[in-house]
Amino acid sequence: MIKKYLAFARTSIKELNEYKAEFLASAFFVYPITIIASIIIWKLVYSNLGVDSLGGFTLNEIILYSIIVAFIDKFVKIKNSRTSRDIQDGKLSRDLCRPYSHNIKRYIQAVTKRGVSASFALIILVLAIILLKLPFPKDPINIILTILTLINATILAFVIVQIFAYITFWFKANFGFGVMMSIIMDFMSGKTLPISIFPGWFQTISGFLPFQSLKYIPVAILLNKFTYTQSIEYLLIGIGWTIILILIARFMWKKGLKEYEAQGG
Amino acid sequence: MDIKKHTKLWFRYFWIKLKEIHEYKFNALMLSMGFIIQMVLWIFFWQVLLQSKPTFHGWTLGELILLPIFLRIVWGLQSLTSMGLLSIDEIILDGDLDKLLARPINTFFGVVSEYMQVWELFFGGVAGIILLILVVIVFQMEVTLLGILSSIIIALLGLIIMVLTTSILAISAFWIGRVESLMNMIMSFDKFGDYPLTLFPMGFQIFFVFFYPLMFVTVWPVKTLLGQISLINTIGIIIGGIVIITIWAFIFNILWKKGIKRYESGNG
Repeated sequence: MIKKYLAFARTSIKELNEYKAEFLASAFFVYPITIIASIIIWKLVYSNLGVDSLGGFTLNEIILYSIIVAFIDKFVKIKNSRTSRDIQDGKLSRDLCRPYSHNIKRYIQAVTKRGVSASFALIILVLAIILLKLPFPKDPINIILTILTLINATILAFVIVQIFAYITFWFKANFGFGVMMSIIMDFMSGKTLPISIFPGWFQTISGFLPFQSLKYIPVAILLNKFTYTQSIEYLLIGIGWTIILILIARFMWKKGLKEYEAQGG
Repeated sequence: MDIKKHTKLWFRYFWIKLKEIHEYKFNALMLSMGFIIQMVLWIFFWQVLLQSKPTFHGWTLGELILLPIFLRIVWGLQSLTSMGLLSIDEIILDGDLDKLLARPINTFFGVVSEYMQVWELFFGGVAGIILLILVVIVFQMEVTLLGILSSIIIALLGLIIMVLTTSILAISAFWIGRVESLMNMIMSFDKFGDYPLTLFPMGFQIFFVFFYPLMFVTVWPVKTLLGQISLINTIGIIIGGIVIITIWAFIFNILWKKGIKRYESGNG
């Protein structure tokens, strides 16, 4: 069984060869541009407000937060799933007739591609931290907890994306819904600003939603913004959300397949 | 080129693309809601950062909100004019350019019209104009007719420069094949358009005037709309824009002709 899915990972890496330029451009041009934009904007924000700390983050910490979040965004990405297209043009039929799970296949493919993309960007991330002399935390327990929250975040992000994709079973074109939700979730995951900078009511709402587990929680844990107990609590909450959403996704998948017409497949 | 025939054809293409929106109503509704939500979140973003101080290095909240709105309006118009040029590599690789070359229409016109996107025009352009009016009213901004006219002219000049520079990069596909990564690289500069570029280092500002004209698209239209740029400087910006367009149009024309020639000979 594992061999079968590893084969998907291998073919995904082979497919990546075709998009080499895309990955290199993203890692060595687009990502540095994002870093430069973050540095300029945050310096302007702090000098405008005349403060040393915002939401518990110093200037150097918030720059580090922004560039790590931009890095994480490479593999915890909320965007339209290929499943949506498979449903729309009927290609899902092929997977339904074969002895493997369509959803696991898509997860393996997504993780492989994003992992390769992120590994290129990692070089830039390390360089940026060294050149900008940013205070990279070295607490081994927090690093382990960050890795665990990130593993959960990749699964959580994938499940959320799949749930959006399953809406295509009922509505022919689902692209707009994906775009709308990705805008909301990017914001609520802490991609634009750390959640601790927002007013209390926004932080309370975020606490009841799964999105902050995608980006804010892993980076805040890494930057020592929580105690170990709080970090473990957040990790467990994130895992809880993943389980709940997997159950919702399974329910939608079963219901959706009954609606599936396999047009064009 | 028969202008009457091509204008008629353009409207026919426009009508067909318009029907696509009707076919995917749910998609259309979600896209427009996404745009509005994005703008609301942007307002919230600045409100959070300006809690203890009402301005950002001299920029008020209303002015800051207008920056991305102008950018989205220009994107909307850009999608009407240059989607085909921006994805020329796919058109070449899919063999669709052969189809256009075989038709009794101007090839450049074919690329521009057949691949236009009406989605962005409605959900970025039209929605953007409505939001712009709302922001001006809610923030009680004073605008004059001259300010409105000059901001429209400057934004349109920015649109033309943007179409020309990005298209020049895109048509390098005639020589190097896939240019998707190149296009993604240039598009990554869009993120700067949401911020007041006058606060950025001079090198960035020069780049955003001559090469990727975000100053024309965001900062200057906002400033002229609100009467914060003198008439002399406004005229200077407009003349400068026309000069930049002339230079880029000249380069584009040469490259387009060479590209088409190379493509035909390559397939001959």
